[in-house]
Amino acid sequence: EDLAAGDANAAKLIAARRKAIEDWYGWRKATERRVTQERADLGKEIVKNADEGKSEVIE
Amino acid sequence: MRPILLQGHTRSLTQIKYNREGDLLFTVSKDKVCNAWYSHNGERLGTYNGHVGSVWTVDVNSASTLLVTGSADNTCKLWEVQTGKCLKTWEFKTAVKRVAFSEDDSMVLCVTEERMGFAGTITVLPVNPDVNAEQSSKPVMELVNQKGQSKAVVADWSYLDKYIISGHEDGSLCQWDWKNNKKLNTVKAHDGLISDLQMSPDRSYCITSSKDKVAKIFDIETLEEKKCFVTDTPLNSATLTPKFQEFVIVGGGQEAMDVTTTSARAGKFESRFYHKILEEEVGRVRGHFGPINTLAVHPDGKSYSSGGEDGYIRVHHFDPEYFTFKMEI
Repeated sequence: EDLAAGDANAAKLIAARRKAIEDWYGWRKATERRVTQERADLGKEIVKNADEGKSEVIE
Repeated sequence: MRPILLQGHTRSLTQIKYNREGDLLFTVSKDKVCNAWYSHNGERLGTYNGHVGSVWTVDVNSASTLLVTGSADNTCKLWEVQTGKCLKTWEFKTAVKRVAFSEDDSMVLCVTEERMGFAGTITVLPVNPDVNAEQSSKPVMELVNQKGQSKAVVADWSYLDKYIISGHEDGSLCQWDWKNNKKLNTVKAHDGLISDLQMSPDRSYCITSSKDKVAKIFDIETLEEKKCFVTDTPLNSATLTPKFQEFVIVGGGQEAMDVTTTSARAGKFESRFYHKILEEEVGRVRGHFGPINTLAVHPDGKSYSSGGEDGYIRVHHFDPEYFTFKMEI
């Protein structure tokens, strides 16, 4: 019985974590899309992050 | 890997900042100077001398050519990074508690202290990227704190410099349409002073830390609270890891004057790592002998630094396990 309860709790926790992850990335994606659009509208695309593209060269 | 200890400041650290590439680390302290260090080995590159009071805050532009500092001597100074030459001194009525370059590097914001009948302000100054050019003394905008309102203590720019976001002494967080000197939104973010406010790499959300022992993540557009990290010690700083892991790092600690026994202080001076999305603590890094005042992560996400009340800066390179760590989902 304890084991079953433990399993149920673990499953609940995992489900909650999955939902948190899903919500976060859903929000991030929507925000990134909106910000990218706003940048494009103003002709101010983001300059690539400093180490992006560069770190590959070093490694 | 053993942390690198940067020794060079004689008093407590107030803020540390990496440049965009992360090869340089700029540190400011109550000892009135700003130091620049090579972040990979901790070698000191140079010192920026000129302030006559505690230096509270520092920022560097994205080209790593210009540095700005704010001090208790009621000035904000612009420096040439490479030579250490002071290019401009802006004078204020009160101390400058926070400075930040705009996303496009064309301006800096200065949060000035409220004191002796002078209202606190967030002053926006123009910056000419040419190190040989004359720098203007005339602010672009001055957001003056209204009577009865809690003063701003920290602030930063949103993506596209669309808003200025300010954190206040009473724990409120404000969003400004700074071009029109208009406060758009205010939320009660914390129950105590907001000690730090740092932007996500894309400046679309921010993390705040507070003396109320909590750190939070807010959406810049809506000021909606997205995440909450609960600790057991007053926080002085919070930062985001940009890559490899979705973590936040927070630090703080009870001031010696605020505690009665040493045992109560034990273990409170650690950097704490939380999973950014799941809000669960995942680890701690100890080392400082006093409260952690400031935290910053290298933009490559492979190391981070902490500046303490103890006068030390510790540069920590993450162990291999850090990169392979995974939460069960």
